Amino acid sequence: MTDEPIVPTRSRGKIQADVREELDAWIDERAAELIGEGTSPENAREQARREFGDAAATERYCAGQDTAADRRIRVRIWLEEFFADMRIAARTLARTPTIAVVVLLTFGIGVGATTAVFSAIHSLLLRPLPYPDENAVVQIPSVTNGEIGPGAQLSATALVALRERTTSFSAVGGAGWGGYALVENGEPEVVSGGRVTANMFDVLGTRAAIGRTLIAGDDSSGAAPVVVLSHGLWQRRFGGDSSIVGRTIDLSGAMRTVVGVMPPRFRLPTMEETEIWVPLDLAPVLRDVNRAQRFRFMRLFAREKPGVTHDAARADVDRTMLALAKEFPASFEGIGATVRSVRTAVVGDTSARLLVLMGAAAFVLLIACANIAGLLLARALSRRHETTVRIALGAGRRRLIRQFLAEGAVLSLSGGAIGLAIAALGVAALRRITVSSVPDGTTFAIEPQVLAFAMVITAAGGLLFSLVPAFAATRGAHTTLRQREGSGATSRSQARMRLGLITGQLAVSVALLVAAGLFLRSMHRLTTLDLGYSTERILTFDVGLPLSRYGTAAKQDIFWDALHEQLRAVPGVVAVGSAGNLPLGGGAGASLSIEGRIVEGERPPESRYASVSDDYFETLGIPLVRGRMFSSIDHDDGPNVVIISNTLAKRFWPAGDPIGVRVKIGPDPSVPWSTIIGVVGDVRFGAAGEYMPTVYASARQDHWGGGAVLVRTAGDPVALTAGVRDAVKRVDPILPIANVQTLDQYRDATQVVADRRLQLQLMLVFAIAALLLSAIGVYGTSAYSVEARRREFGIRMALGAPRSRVLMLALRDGARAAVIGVLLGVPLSLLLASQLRELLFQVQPFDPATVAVVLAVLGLVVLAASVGPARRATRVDPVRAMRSD
Amino acid sequence: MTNPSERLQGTVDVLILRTVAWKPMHGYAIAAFVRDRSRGELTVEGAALYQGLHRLERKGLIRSKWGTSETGRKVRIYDLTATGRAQLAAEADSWKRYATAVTRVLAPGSGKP
Repeated sequence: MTDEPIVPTRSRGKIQADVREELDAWIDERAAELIGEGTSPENAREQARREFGDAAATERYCAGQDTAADRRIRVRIWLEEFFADMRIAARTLARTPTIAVVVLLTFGIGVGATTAVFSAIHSLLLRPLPYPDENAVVQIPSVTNGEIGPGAQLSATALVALRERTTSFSAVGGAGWGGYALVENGEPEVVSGGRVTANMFDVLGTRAAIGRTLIAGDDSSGAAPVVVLSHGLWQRRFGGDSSIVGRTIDLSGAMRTVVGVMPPRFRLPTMEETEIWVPLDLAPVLRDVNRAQRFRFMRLFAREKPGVTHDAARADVDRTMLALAKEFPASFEGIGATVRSVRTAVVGDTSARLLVLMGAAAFVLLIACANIAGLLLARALSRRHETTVRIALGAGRRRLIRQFLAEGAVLSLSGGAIGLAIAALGVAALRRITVSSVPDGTTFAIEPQVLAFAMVITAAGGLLFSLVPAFAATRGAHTTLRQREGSGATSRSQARMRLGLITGQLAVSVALLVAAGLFLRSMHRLTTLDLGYSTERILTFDVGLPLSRYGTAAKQDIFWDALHEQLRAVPGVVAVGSAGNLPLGGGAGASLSIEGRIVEGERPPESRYASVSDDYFETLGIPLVRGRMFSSIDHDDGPNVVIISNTLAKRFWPAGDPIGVRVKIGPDPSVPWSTIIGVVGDVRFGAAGEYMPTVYASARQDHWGGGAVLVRTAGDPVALTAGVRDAVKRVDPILPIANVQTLDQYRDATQVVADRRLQLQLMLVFAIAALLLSAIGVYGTSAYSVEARRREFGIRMALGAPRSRVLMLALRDGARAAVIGVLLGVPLSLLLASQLRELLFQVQPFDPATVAVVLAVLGLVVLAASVGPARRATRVDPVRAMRSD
Repeated sequence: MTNPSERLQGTVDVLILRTVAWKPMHGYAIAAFVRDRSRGELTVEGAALYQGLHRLERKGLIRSKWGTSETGRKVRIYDLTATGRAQLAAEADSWKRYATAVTRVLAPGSGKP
């Protein structure tokens, strides 16, 4: 009885042979039976074969089944052996913990940094917008001088024209800003609201979570006043009361019925701070032809009809705007519009910047991989001797490579796990530090796509970690039996490779550090930029005067005078001023007509415009250049007066005196003339804008019904917040004030500054990661190199070389590599910086000071990292070193 | 209703399982066993038999090894695995219910159960 088991893995030929043998046995048995029954032997075999059935088909079928079974077993065996290899690899790594820890940390940092940034990018760029079928939703921003205007706003006439004369859109809606005083359920608060055409929700497509959105007719004159609330406001002020629909609430003195609440993530695109939406009745604006054409107060959004492309829509819009410019040149000359997807509008051009950061993250990952590859390579090369022997003793090359793969798998999986942990920490940190810089509602979280991305990197890393050392160790193994580790040619090429990697790492680190340095300087320049006025020690807040109680100019004047007086009386207050709007907010625009300089058909010059209190200039530290400031003699019944800024004066009266000249502000020709009584210094608009020509009117003559109040203090402005609030209450106990902050805080919160801060923070993370990794890399390489050259150092010292010489020898190669790396890094940094040129503020891509600082810092780090191992070189015991062969 | 060739395959499969459950044996012996036990009613064709055997082995319900037959020939001997044992119980059960149901429908008499 020869009982042998079927060998688990058989070749194709063997499988077929086995099947054939088995089927033949059946035929033999049957033939034997037939012979026993009397059939002749030849006939018996024939008959048995016939009785069997289709032998050829059966053979094929059985062989197929066996092959499939065989394959499964092969795979199972391979996996079992692979896991066994992984366990062995883990044990081996545990015996040299330094390398393992270094690799894990390095890979972890690399994966962590890239994943964190990727998740930020994913959140910011790819997050789904709350508009169903968002590809059809577009913004129609205004275009002046070839660029999208900062406000991107258009007038009512433009909206009507785009509605009636284009064929690309199923709906075109407009949205303007409004501030509303909400006195319901607690502290009076000014809520930012959107005044929207009733079809705006049709444009965006989002349905209400409770109740309804606005419907056609809500925005016609005489319709019942309604309002739609945001989810956030509903939770915050109304406690998520489910019976909110149908309730009437008091908004700035007018009652409105709540008809619906929007779902949690809904925002009005580009107007994300608005929390309530009221219908916008265009009829009154359209009745006044001038206002209809020139008052650009709305952002327009539209929904493209199915099948319409952005390009087609754009052409349609262009045509309409050109037609308008022909019909009403005075209002529309030079004003165009374009079409951009709502995603581009919302995400803005941050995409380009974030991609740059992604590039930086990739650099860091590259450094990390270079580090690790270097270390593992070194290790593999030193084990070449052992590997060679094993191959000579019969170990299959594939088997060895599988062992390297197992080691790579262990390293990359554990490193990847660490990386994910670091990424989670990084994302949490990002969330905290960017809370002011990113659009509300962005949640940084590790999404499935991000996780998949991390796994891909991990897998790629794993392959790299296994294959590079694998091939290095087994290449030409059969010929290198004679060579021993640390001897002659191999050690030199090993050393060259290691040093090459260090050089590369340092070059990339230089580039990243320089970029970070440039960002730092940009940030500094931005925050210390001279705006033309002082932002130090000034507290500011907004007020809106409800028409119900402040319907007349006289009542408003009384309020402002009382407010200024009360505020000045607060101890610690140095000066008080107010204005309809502040330069940091961008200011309002108006056209200016100068008496004696009107040319028929020509567009009047544009300038910034503000209505300010008497002490406004003094409070902000804006100097008076000529003439006088506003005072109480400029009252409502008296002649209209204005003050202009220096650039305006220089532009139109380069040699003369503007004082006494008469001008008109705004598009309405029936407005009376105003006389220029003074010239003041210029201010920048926005946090980083240009000095702009500005016209100021006195608040006593142009009543805006609200605005910003500025309180200059002797000490810390924040400390006086309570005092300021009390002062306001003394004048009007139920008047809400909003946005109480210092002017510095306001500046820091503007988009320009906040954007940069985010970039800076992210770039710093990378630069520091790169620095850390380079330090680790340098340390690891020097340690390894010293270890490899033990014998050499031992011999030298035995032959009488002084310690200092050994030290220098140990440092020499590393220092040379470092210098080369750093020198390579400078042009690389120039390359990187020139790519980032648009993100820099008043800083040149090649900034010698920054480069010098970076080189110094890096030099110190490299020195520190290599000193440790180098000193160990001097402590080598010569006798032991020579014996450890 | 399972289609006829599946039902046929299933029949061969369950017969094989039942046979090797009683005693490990090689293909020819299995066919002989079935023929004898069914008193000549069921003859399994060689092709169908071996296709069934290899299919069941791929599914892990039976396993094989080389051995010698009573006549001294080198043959492949099949044996039941634990999974096969469980499958056999399920299949036999299902078959019995099927047979009973068919018999009941075919029984003479009124339509009453």
